[in-house]
Order: sequence, then C-alpha cells, then structure tokens
Amino acid sequence: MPDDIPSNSDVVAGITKGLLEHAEEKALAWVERFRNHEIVFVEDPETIDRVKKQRKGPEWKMLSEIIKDKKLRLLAQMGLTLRELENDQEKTQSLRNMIHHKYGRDGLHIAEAVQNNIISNFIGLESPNVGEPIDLTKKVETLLNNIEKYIVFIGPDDKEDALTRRVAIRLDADVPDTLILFGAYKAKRVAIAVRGKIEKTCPLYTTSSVETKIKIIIFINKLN
Amino acid sequence: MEMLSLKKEPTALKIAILRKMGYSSDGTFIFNSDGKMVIDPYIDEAVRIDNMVILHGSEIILDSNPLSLAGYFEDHGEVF
Repeated sequence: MPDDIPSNSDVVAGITKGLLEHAEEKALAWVERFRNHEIVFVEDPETIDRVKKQRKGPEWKMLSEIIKDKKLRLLAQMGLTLRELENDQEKTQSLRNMIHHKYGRDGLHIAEAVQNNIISNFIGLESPNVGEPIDLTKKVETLLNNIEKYIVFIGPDDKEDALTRRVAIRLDADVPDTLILFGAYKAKRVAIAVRGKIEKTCPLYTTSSVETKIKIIIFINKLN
Repeated sequence: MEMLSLKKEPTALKIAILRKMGYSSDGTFIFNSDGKMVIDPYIDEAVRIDNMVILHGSEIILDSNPLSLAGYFEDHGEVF
C-alpha cells in the first residue's frame, strides 16, 4: 500500500477521534449553558411534564393545602401518579417497587389510599365537621401515619367471616372515629358482605360508601 | 429554562458532560469526585447513566422517575 493512502484502521481511528472531539465540544457548550441556568439535562421530558402537570391539578392543590408532612406529601403525589399510570402496567409496577423500596408497605398503602380516592373522599366527609384547617391536617395526617390501623385493604383471598371478626375486634378494641374498608374487583363483594354484618353487630357505628363499578370505599363512623 | 433531553445522545457524550461537571462513569453508573457511586436520595438507588437527570441545586443527579422528580420539586420548588 502506498504511504499516502491511509489504512482502514487509521480511518476508523480518525473517525473515532473526530467523534470524541465533537462530543467534548458539545459537552463543553452544554455544561456552560447548564451553569448559566439556561438548561437542565433530562432523559425523558414526558416524566417531568407528567409530574409538573399533576402538581397543577385540582386534587393535588387540595391535598397539598391539607397535607404538610414532607413524606406524606410525596406519597400522596405518588398516589396520583399511580392512578394516572393505571393503564401502563410496567410503569405502575416500577413505581410501586420504588415506593415500597423506599417507604415500605405502609408507604405503598398511603399512595394506594390516594390512588383509590380514599383520602379525597375522607376529606370530603370530614371537612364539614372540622373547625380549623389545622384540625383537618391533623386528622388526615393521623389517618395516613396509621394507615394499617384505620384502613383495611381487602385482598381477593380474604374470607368474609374472618375479616368481619377482624373488623369487629378492631372497632371494639380501638374504638376509632372512622374505620375504612376498601375493596376492588373480587374484594368488592367481600367488602359489601362485611359491611352488612358490621351494621348488624356494631350498633355504635354507622356506615356510608362511595363506589364505582370495580371499587368500593366503605366508611364506618362512630355515632356521636 | 429549557429541558435538554439526553435520551438519544450517545453514552460518550453523557460521559463527557459528567466529566466536565467533576463526575465520572463506567458507562453504567456514575461516580462523584471522591469515586463514590452517585445515589438518588429519593429512591435510595444508584443512578444509571441511561436514565439520569441533572438538575440545579448544587448539580443534583437523579434517576428519571416520578418519585425522585416529585421529591426534587418538593425540596426545590418548580425551578424549571
């Protein structure tokens, strides 16, 4: 091969060097813009847009005025995100895993309580009965911080009789102002059956509910 | 403030950006100037170069997911 014709390896090395130099120049210019606060680097703008849009929505506005605790606010917002992602199983599962990893089972239940409108409905029911906004904050944050105590998430395998006993024992032992049952799909039928039995056996409590075709939220409230 | 997406950019460019900011990368994870792996505090997991966001507030590198981004906005306000 004559000396003035470059070999294939020289050509590849030249292209690689050129690409790296181009990357360096581009990186330098972008970092400069970043430092001037002109840009931020993102992977997927859609994820950021979704979060920003949600924070402007009416439900978040309402929740954010009531919920002050930082962790609870974040979990509440994740509940709204889970609701929005309900039709995307992969993204939903990924987010559920992250919430569980960071905040455990209780954290995931807090997000699920918001996702399933339990908290917004609770606020709707409690708002007329509280005097000061701070009292509503206390009520909602107490509910969220004791989620396993005040909300019963009924699973598809829960048995009606055993669950009724569990709920009745809790009402007798803790005498809460409110106990909430939540059931979806197959568990909705179980929730309705448990409600019927509790109404018959716990005269100190009254029930009300909010339901859709697939979900039901049952509020068991202590009679004043 | 403009959001500049790195989604379609080559890893070499992402590494070059990180280097100019005082970080490094093995092509998967990111390391700070002390050589410690960058952990996203909102999810307690290592940030991967193929799903990172770099935001203001002492150059915060996070994983691109709703939990981390909502956490960032809670802490810093909607600065962009």
